[in-house]
Amino acid sequence: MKYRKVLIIDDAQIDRYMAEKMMKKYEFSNEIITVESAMDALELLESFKTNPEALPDLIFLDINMPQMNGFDFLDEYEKLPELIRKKCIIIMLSSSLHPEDRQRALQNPHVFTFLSKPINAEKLRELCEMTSTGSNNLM
Amino acid sequence: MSNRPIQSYNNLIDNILDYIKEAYIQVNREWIITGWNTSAARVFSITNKAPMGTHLMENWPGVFSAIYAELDVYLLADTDINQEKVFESKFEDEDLILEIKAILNPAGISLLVNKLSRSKQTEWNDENERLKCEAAFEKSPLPKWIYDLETLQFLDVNQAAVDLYGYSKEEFLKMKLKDIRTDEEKVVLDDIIQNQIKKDMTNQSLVIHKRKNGEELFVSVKGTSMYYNDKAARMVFVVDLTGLHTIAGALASSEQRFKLLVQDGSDLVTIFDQQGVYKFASPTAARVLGVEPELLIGKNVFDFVHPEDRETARLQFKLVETQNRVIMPPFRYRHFNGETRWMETIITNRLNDPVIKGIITNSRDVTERILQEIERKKILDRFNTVSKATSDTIWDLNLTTSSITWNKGLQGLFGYKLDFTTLDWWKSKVHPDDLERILAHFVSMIKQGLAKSKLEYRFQCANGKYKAVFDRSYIQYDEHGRGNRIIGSMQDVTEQKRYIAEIEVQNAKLREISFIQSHKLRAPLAAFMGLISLIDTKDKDPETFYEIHPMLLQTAKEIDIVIRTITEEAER
Repeated sequence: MKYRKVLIIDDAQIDRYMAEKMMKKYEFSNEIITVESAMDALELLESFKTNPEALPDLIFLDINMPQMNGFDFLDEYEKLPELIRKKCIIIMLSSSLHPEDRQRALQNPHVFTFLSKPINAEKLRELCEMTSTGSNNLM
Repeated sequence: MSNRPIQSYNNLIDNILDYIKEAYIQVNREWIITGWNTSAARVFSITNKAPMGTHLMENWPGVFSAIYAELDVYLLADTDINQEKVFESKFEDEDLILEIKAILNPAGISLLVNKLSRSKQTEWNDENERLKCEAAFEKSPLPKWIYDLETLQFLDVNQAAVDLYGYSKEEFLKMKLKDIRTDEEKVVLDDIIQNQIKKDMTNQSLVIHKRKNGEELFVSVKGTSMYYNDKAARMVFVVDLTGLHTIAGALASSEQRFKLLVQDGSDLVTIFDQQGVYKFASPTAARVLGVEPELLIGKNVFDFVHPEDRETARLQFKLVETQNRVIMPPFRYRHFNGETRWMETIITNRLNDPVIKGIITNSRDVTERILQEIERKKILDRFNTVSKATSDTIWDLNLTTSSITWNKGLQGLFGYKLDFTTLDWWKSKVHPDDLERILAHFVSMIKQGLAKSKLEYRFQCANGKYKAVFDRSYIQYDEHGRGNRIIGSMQDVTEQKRYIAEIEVQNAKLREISFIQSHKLRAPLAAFMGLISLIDTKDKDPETFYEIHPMLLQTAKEIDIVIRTITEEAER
């Protein structure tokens, strides 16, 4: 297994299913947690602040979500304790091909890289390489 | 009867007379001196017998004139009279006041002369002076009055003042000095009273008074300080200059007008005979025509008129014989320096005036104005030539005069049939929401010394609607770097603006479709692609397939819905 724990934040049930299925198939992470809203994710992360070991290594964050979108989540994430922010790597996900979405995502200091949906084996493999080398140049 | 007793009697009387202190002179009925006593010889300085047999008035006319005037009538009457009359008279040589007792008797008059005492003499002097003053005051043909220096109340006025001012003496004596002044003059009077009048001082001033009927009088006033009934007073006499003032004013005004119009004016005033021969030219000829006026006399004006304008000028000149006054349109005149000048002339017929006996013309050099008009017309023609080749509106703003010259495009594009307007007119036609921006733009351009300008704004048409215009202009600067002219062209871009607006709407639609494609269509498509990639044909895991199958159907439906939405959006 490449990662200990991964958190997927996506309102689309099919996308959550696909991501989880793909990660399991390619043994991407020991533990995969999925939540269907950014609020649930923030709540979950808050619950881990006394137990940093339970925090996920990677967070897959969808941009387009109702109520609180991916960027709104990042604004709230900024307010979380440094301990949490240091521990987690955020990968933004979107089915959008719009360059603006990608640029905006990469401008945020907490975002490691941007991935366009769907997640496939190739993208997961490249992500592993990037996180190990620190490079985040991934389409 | 013997004469001896009479002679003795006469000698006795002579001796008695010589002893009396009064001077005694005897005259017969013809006023011939017949005798005097020693006192008379002393008083009248008689040292010989010369006065004897001479006329009394030949010797001391000043002393006895009053007596002579009054008593001669009695002597002429040739009647026996016995009367005594007392006179007082001044003996000028000795500066003495004399009391003269005249005793009329059949032989003539005996005159007994007494010198008056010093106090009596002073009293006499004062009284006599007073009477003389009174007479001079009352009978003076000049209006006079005396006023109280403290209260300004009139204390006395003479008949001439009553006649001039229209108030009775009684009315005057109830009035004060201010009552005969106009309101403006009251202020002046206050100043005079407070600052200028000093006791024992005489002064004179020109003031305006008013009559009882309200008419104003322009008078010269001279005042002298005096005491009147123990009061500090001032006697004033007045000279009425009203008529003189009016005549002098009219004359001065007339003279000034003449000087202004004929001598110092900018216009040339000339008098011609009916053939146009100069009879008189004002000194301004030197400046206007470049020739001394006397050199014009005898010459014919039409010889100096431009050949192309000569016939018209002749007709106009002839016209004045029937119309009395003709305003000639500008014509060209040959200046004596060889230049052609444009003149504007008013002709007046004064042939029947016995003083003038000619045709008066008043001419003005209008060359500058005419040349400017010609220049403007040329510019306008150039504009109009350009306007035929363009649909633009060309404008030329003179920043010095704030006036704008327009070409015909102003009518063609906006419906205004105008060649010239003010800058304010232009401002009133620019859309109020655009005006401030445009003015600020030009101010900024001129401040930076920039020449080429491009602007878009809305300009109101004659029908009230606004058109969008694209304005390209060029700013001209004078030698000091000051912007003095802006020439521009306005292009109607209403259609273009509308077209651009339409394209912008279309672009907005396309962006929306792009967004839909990028987000809404891509999302189910990405899911579809992801699901497909999960179906591994090698492991043939039916469980997975059954899980994925409904999801594939769902995403396919979502794709279908999004495509329909895009189609509808594009058609909207």
